[in-house]
Amino acid sequence: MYVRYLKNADGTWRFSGEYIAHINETNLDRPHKVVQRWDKPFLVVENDQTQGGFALLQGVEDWFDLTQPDFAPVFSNSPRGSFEPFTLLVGREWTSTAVPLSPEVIQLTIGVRDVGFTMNYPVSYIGTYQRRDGEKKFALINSLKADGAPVPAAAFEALGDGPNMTPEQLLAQALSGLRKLAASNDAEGKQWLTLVLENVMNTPEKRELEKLLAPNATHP
Amino acid sequence: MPVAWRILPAILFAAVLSAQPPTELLRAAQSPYDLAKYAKSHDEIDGDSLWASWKASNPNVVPCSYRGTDPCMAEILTVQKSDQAIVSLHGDLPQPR
Repeated sequence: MYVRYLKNADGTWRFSGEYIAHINETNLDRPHKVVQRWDKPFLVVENDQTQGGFALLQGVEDWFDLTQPDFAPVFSNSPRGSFEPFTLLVGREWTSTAVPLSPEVIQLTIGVRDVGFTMNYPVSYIGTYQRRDGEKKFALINSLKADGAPVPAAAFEALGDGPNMTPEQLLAQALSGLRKLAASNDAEGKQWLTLVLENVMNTPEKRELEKLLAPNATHP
Repeated sequence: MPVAWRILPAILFAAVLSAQPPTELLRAAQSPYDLAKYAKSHDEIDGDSLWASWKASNPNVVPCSYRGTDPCMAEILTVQKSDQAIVSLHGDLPQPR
């Protein structure tokens, strides 16, 4: 638990808010830090939101703007996590780093590995969060892949949220890696992908991968 | 007068005392440094009294409630050029493997 106090003019203290964190062995060595740049101090607290039953390891960082009178998160991200579904689905591992670029702009870089059987293709994403005058919370204003390709805001914000994504969404986000696998000579990996596609509804991504997996497919 | 009647006032007085919020905790809750000291030196923290002293309501949370026999881990986080302090209170934590 974190309890914030503000100092009164007469030197006494007053309670200003509390925040309940979930600290566990996965984040025991780094539960909090104060990031101080310019005149904007932020308290960053890492929560452990691991859920064993969902094969999910997940840390969630909450950022508090300590120049604000209230004690509530203004920005959140998942600095690390993994999701390994029990069934035949695409899994995911991720790490992310948030860096304030100015008092009102935070850049979030997310490294994602969509994983499954022999597949392990890393992809990096960059999101820019901004807080405009009068706003308390930072909001995503721009999101890209590292190669500059735009990424829809909803897809970017779901990158560290594997268990809440449908199999179809996971497939769509892992498509670039899955294309490489489908066009490769990795027979076992392709067999795994064939089984994964059986658990996914009929989407454009599924149809594209099935074509690439077809025995007589021609690969670019 | 039967003995029971003679000790009844003492029993009632003790009951009233035990129902009072611990004044030491109420005082400690008014300062981050005193709260940290209190947490480190007491086996239990009365969550209801703490929340009441802050006029906040979060009855489901008792600070350092899962610490077993270990002392509460209390740390003061200070912020440069700022008149504020944050107390972190953590209870029993599994040891890293």
